Amino acid sequence: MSLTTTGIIGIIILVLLLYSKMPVGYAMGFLGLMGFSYVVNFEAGINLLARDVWDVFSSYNLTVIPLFVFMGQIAFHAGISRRLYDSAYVLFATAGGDLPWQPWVRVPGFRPYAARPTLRRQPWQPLPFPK
Amino acid sequence: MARRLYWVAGVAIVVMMLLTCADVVLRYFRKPIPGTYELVCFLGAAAVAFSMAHTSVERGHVAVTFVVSLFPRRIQGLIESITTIFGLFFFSLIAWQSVIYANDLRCSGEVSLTLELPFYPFVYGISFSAAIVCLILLSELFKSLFKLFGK
Repeated sequence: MSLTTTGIIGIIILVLLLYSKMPVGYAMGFLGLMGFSYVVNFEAGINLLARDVWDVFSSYNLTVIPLFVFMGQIAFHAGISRRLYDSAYVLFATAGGDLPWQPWVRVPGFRPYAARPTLRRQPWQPLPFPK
Repeated sequence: MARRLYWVAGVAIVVMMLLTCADVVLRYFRKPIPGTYELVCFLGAAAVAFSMAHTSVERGHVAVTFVVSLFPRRIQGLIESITTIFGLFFFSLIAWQSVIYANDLRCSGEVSLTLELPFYPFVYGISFSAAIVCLILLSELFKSLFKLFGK
């Protein structure tokens, strides 16, 4: 079997695995290991596995991801997002109107507030914002 | 156990943040902390590795569920068992190979560039947390087998 055929079969199996409720990371890692083991040999595959896991985990560039999530958590728990909503509400609530895309797209969390007329007429009332 | 590892990961992230901030500030005073780059790499590895177990317990890994949820309960159990066996296999290989790799690193005495910190304790850490993930996956496997064969 040529390498291209192997690759195409690999992609098909990957899609199947992704739709089978397997966590995406596990599926990709597992299939990568299997593919490498098939093309070279199993020994090389598992040897590469440990090295690759260490390389990726200790990659400096990828450390921004946990830090970014951490920043988001801090911002959320400090109430920045809530205050952004509050200030936007205070500034624009009297402008009237509605979300322009409301008839076609239901943005979760937005619709109940836009659709409730009593809330629209009381701009200074604190709102239970979606989190 | 997963909870404890999770705390270790949290502490690693906070230390990473403080270290980076301190490095940035001290750079203005011409006194950067030596080896911040490596320390952040190591702490990042610790953070990611040790948070895997907790994420598995919480089922926080990104997965596509909408196709499987269309099937009846028994078939769901079957599919879950198969995928969990794959995951178990994968993580047991990671645990096993990481131990071998760490032994290699220890014997060859490989250290990081600036601080000359040895790599191998962190590779042992990855191996340990992969072993914990294996245990969690094993319990998941029993759950899905029960779903398959139970009433």
